[in-house]
Amino acid sequence: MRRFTAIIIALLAVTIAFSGCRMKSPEEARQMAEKAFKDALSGKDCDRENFLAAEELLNKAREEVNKKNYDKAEELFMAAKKKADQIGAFVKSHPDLCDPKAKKETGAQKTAAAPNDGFEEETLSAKDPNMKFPVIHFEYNEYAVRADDIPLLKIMAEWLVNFPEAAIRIEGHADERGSIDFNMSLGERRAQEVRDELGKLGIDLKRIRIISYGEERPLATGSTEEAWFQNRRAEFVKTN
Amino acid sequence: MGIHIRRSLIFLCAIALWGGAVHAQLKGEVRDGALVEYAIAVPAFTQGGDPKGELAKNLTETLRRDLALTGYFSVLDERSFVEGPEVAADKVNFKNWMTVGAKGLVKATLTGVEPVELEVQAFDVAGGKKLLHKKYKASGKAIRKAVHSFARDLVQLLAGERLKFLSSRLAFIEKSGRNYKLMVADFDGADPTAVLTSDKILTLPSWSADGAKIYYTAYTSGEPYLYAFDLKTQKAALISDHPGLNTSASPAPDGKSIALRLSKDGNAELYLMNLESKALTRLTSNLAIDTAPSFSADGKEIAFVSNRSGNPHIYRLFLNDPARVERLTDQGKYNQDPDYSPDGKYIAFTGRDEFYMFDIFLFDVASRVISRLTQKQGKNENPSFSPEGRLIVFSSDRTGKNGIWLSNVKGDKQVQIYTGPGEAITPSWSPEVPVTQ
Repeated sequence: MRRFTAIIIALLAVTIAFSGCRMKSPEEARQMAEKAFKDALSGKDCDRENFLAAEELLNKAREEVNKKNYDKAEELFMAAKKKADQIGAFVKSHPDLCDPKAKKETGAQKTAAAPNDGFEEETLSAKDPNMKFPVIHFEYNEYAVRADDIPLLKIMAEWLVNFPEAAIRIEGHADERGSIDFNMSLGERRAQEVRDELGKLGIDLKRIRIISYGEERPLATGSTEEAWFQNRRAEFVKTN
Repeated sequence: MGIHIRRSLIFLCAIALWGGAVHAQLKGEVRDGALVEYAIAVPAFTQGGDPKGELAKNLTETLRRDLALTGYFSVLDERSFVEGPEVAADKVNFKNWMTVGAKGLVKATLTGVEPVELEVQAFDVAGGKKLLHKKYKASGKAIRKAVHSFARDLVQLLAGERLKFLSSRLAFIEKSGRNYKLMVADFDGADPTAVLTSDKILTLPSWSADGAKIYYTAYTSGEPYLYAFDLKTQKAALISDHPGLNTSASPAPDGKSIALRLSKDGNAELYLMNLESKALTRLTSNLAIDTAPSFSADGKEIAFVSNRSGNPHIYRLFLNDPARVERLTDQGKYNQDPDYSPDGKYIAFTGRDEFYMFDIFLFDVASRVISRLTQKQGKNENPSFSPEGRLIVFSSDRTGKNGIWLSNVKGDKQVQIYTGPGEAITPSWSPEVPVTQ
């Protein structure tokens, strides 16, 4: 029994010694997170999901600081920094999406230099029977068509008007996160939204079938924002 | 779609030689909800006196793992043993086992080949009394099942509880690129068998109420239709081919109907399908996604996922009044894949935490308290209860690759029971199936 007590006392001493050399506050983590967040502000609109996540994590971390839960706060700050870094990487890899100025420039450049790029609206010709169909992308856990992609849908509708015999299938997809079951519905809702938008543009819905592949058919591999963005999509396939 | 047929001829016979008097020795060991485990020694099985044979080793491990999984036993480390495995059961010196802290002792010997004879005896060390004595004769893989049934009978004897999981199986999907396999394995991951393979999507397997079939969705026709694979005939039958999604079957306990997700009316809703007439009753009706049904064991409720509040959360509906829907989770923003426990006390689900990690949680239906089973160990998804509710199977990528894991309901004991060449996902635990099936 005495030995047991001695062990407990020794353990307590070690714990106290360690807590003594802990940071008084997770100041370092806070500074890192806030700097990363500031750097990521340009991604506020184009990587909204991560932006909101980073913001939420930062706020939570600050709350924990107020509650003096420094370990938890530090952990949250580091998570916020990680999210903010991901936004930074996304902004870097999507200059056309994230910077309105860059968007116009790259758009123009692409029209001139890379006419076969395919996904830029300027390069698509609705008069071309073999037009490469655009891909519609979605926000995380969302199925509304983004304003950015409406011009692509208009081109698609124009093409369907020009080729009235054509029938298409819209294939909806989700990224790898979340349950396989729910993602099947998410993919389906994305395909439905795209179909309904085409309907609003005057296309007869009888010409359009939809299918969801859930998260089973990713275009891009890897667990990165970039890959997830590529994979949250609706694709058009000609069926006749 | 190619079909692999692998069936083992099974000949299993068990003779109960000694049932002993039933001592509910383990039941009284639960104090303040915490289990005081019964220390048991399982020295290596011997085959012709040799403890090093492949089969003997394999079966020893099987019994040790079974006993640990029951939650009733702490299985002692054989390195502490002072008496060798070669000592015959009738020559055991119980003092040797008292010394190492064993309350119970299991001795087993194997003789012959195809069929193998297995003789297993369990002793109460302090009293030097025999508790259970069984002899089994079996060919091929059935001998492992004999070990499971010994473990089940020992728990039944000592604790008065029948642990159904000891005669149950798992179904899951293993995915390698665009190659899909519908896998079936014993509950401990042994004997993994691809019952279906396809280069078309196979997804979301679940067991029929009698454990004879596996429901799953396949894109074989190009569309996501629901099928039932009969393990006896090794044939798949089309169950539901409505336009849109036909997925996520959860059988009613009476086996006469299934709850499933259909999107034939334009939006994912839950329906009840009579398996004989195929008649449908629509259970949900709103503009949101409703999916992932899980019947309660009394057949009166269905837990499911809906994003009617914006984000996916766990709800339940009451079959006597489907308009009555109750939201169960309000923590987090992303809760999915509910599975009702067989005793109706819990709903296990996958939740996304504040670090955007997916983990397994348990919702206590009576207290509405949520507890957490996994944390900071990769992505953990798709929980499914064992048939008596003692264990939960789920997929985890904590090793860098998705494998199949078991956890107790407290979450403090977790073990990987399957990892293969592909990503093993969406496990579903069968009901209790007869040992000879």
